Amino acid sequence: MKDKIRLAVKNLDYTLLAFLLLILCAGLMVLKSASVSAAVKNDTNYLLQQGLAALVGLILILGMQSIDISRLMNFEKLIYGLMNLMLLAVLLFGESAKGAQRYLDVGPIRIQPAEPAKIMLIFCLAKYLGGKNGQLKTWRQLIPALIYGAIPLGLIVIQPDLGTGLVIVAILFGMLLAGGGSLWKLLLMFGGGISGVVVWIYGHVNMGWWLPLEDYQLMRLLVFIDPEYDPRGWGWNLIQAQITVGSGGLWGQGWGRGAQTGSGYLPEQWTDFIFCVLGEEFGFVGCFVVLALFFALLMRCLVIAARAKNLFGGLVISGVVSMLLFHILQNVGMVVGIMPITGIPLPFISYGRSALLANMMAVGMVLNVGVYKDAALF
Amino acid sequence: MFAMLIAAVFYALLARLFWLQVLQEEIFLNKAVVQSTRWIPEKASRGEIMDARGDVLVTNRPVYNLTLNYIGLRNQDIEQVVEDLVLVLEDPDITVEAIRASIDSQSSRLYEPIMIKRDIPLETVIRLEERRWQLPGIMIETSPRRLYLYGGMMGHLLGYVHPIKEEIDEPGYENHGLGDLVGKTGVEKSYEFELKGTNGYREVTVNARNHPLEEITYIPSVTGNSLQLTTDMKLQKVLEDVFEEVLANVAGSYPKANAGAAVVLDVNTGGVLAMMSYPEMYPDDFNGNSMSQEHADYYFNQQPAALYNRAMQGSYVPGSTFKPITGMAALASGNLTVNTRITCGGAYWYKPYIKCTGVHGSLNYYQAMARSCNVYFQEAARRAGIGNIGAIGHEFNMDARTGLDLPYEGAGLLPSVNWQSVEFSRRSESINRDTDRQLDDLETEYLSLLASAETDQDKRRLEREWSSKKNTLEARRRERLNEDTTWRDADTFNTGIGQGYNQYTIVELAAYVATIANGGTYYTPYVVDKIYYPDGRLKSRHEPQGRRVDVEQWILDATKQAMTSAARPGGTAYGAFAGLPAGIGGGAKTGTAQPGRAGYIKNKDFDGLFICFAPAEDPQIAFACVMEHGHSGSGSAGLVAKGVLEYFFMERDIPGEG
Repeated sequence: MKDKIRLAVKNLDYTLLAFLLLILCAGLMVLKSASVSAAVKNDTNYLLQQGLAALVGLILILGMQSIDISRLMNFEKLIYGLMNLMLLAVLLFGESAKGAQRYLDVGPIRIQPAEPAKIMLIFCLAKYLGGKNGQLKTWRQLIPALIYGAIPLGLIVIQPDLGTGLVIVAILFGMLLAGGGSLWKLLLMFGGGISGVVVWIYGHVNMGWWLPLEDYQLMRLLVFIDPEYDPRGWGWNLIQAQITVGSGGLWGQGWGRGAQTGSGYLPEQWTDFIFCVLGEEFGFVGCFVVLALFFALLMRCLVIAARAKNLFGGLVISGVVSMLLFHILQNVGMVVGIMPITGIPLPFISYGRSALLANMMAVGMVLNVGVYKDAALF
Repeated sequence: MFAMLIAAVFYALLARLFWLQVLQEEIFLNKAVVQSTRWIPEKASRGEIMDARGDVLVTNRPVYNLTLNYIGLRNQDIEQVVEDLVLVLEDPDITVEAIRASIDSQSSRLYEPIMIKRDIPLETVIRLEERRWQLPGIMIETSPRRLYLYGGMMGHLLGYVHPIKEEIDEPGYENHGLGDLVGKTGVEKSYEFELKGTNGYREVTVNARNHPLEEITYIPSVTGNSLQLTTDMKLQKVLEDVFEEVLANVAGSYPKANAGAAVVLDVNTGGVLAMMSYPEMYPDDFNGNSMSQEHADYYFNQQPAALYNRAMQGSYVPGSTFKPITGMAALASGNLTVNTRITCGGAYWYKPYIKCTGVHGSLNYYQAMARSCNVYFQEAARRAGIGNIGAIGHEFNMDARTGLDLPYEGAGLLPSVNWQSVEFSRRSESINRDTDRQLDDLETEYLSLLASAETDQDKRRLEREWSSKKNTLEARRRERLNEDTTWRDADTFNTGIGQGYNQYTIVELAAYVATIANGGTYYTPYVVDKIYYPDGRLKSRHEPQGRRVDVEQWILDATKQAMTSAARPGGTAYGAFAGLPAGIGGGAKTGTAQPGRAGYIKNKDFDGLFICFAPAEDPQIAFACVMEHGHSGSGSAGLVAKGVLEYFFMERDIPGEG
């Protein structure tokens, strides 16, 4: 045990940890002004809650380094089963929020199973795909891997949690690609799937086809195409998000001085739309700095992946990178109006303790791969 | 490959952010400002209206409204304030629930003050002021309400205001806002843009729930300009009182008498000293509160409808009050002199042999005017010819609106040659159209009859019938054209004595009398003398608009003198002047008209009219009055004149320069 702690202290990637801490600090700063109005209304100290969760997350990250997660590969089937059971449980007994079955109350703790599910899926897929040793060139090899991922994906989508579903798709794509999948076949499959969905939605709107989407989710997709279509309803978020970000300008209006932010024009500005607050108060410069930190964090993950001792480690990291990248693309893209509104939080910055812990554990796994990079020790 | 993907994603996001934040900043900043700013109007107080003496006739009563102002209050405070307010007010209508309901009903416009109760009494205001420290956010607002201090007196002239409706889209009303009061009739309408004032604004920022955050700018409202009228409320009161008194007496004998109008003019300016129309109009009845059916009937439906200003909107057959025009036309034609004597034998010697009021014998111009001889003035009309009558009438502006500064003025009807040609061509068109249609119908009928006719004999019979009916219609057409579209001598005779087609408004009659009285200057009547800024500075003063009439001076003088004969003992109008101190006197003409309208029985129902000026030397005022169904001029409108003249020259104090 002592050896492992010494090893962890020696091999821990402090660069990655520093990027993470900087992002966390930036996140708490933004959350402070984003949550002022909501804090009064809901009588919750968002900043304290998030700060505590971040602290717990850090302890978890450090604690995780005491074991080599690649040693846990044998528990893959158990974890895979547990994950699906959790998702099934939330479907059956879950509490609803905004029409979706997302929360599960376990004693005093309220968790969103979809968040740990992402981490668990990355772990299981890494084991499963790692076992294929890059044999993912033919359709016959690809299809079972797809089915493996499709089971939890299906459970999440029918919650319905479209956002997390899309994250799972992104994770699948990234890990299949990293695991040796043929790029054009993957593009064909995922592209075909997305086209299929578009045709399906078109059929639903125009010909009344059955669709496993709630109306509010559909509206989010439709207003993305034309926000003025329903400016006081679903288009509101999109229009206000752009007004808020746009009025920040180059340097921003100053910390805590955002007019839009302070007036509550944005719904959920401390969660999904927190990037607007960053944009309004810190301007393009602030956004650039935060995005640069994210970019550096992801690139650093790739550096660690390159040094991984086995395919499993590389796959875990590519899963984590795919997940975070998709989160960032989707969240920031939604705010600036180049992606539809799906309710995906910005990692480490949006308020949300389950998501924060899950994302931090994901980084913990990346660090773990770095700590145990040297196969010779075994 | 992953690194490329990551770089691509970040590049796309940053590019879009750069576009939004750096290139489009101003657009989005502007959108943010626009959506968070609200303008709250502050209504301007309308200007006051004063009479010639400077006495206020129309003002604004400050009404106290109790409002709750959300700016600067937090939710907890509101609950407490509402509870305290209910305790202080002790008003059964105002409960915590009621206040909460009005807050809720205004939840999308919380930046505007929330109305708790309108028009609260002063004691309540004092009680609230005493506890102001415990009632933050409670405001006592005053909003102006139009107050007509003399009720229905001069109501038609003043007019009424009403919350703005269709005008808001009309040009000129750009500065009016929803809920503003706007003048609908009378001076309130014609001087709307002076009286209105300028609304002020408060600019406040609001959050997404329209909850007010702070006040940015405050532009106070500016009160409207005030008006000083030419009218004298004391004279007006005498006029209205006398009219009602006389009306009550006349109605004792002639129950149909129930309406009328009168105008008093300053002969040297055209300023309206008094103007009335009966039944009265109470401007406050139109203050925007819903009107009872009884009131609605009184103003709009019953006969006579009270809303109508009979002094300037209605026109009346003038009867003998028209004779001075006929006389001037005859003198101007050169076919009559003031000394020409015409013998009245009780009826005119040309068809239709219209009867006179008596057998007057041989009369010159002055005697004829004094006795109002119908024979004399029919002969005068014949000698003048209708062309000259029309020309003189035109000089006195009898064929057009006077141009009085009040809305909806009506115009009289002067049967001049001009009018005839327009009228007669309209009628012949109508007669021809009727006849042509009847001929067409006949053709259709007989063509179908002929088609179904079986024997030649039948056909011939039908053709004969058709032809005979056609001839009848054509004969009727010629007859009607001859009768209705030619000016006959009898029309001239009727016109000469103020009957026939003649119709004039009371203001037109007064303005023409004033012109004779002042020696030949036609002044456009007006009611607003001066306009003052709200701080009391004079903005403008009306300059009398005078025009010399193109009538020879000796004719005007002779006619003026002839009218004074009527006002002397033995004249038909003497009664009105009998009570005046010696040396005042005046000139007058009575009129007893047969309007020939619905509701009037021929040779039984008459309107009474009276026109006059006074004093005889250097006249000051001109007067014209009609009493519908008054039966005789001297016995109705003449008595009104008597009361007005006696007040004016015996009791009235001269109003000071206001």
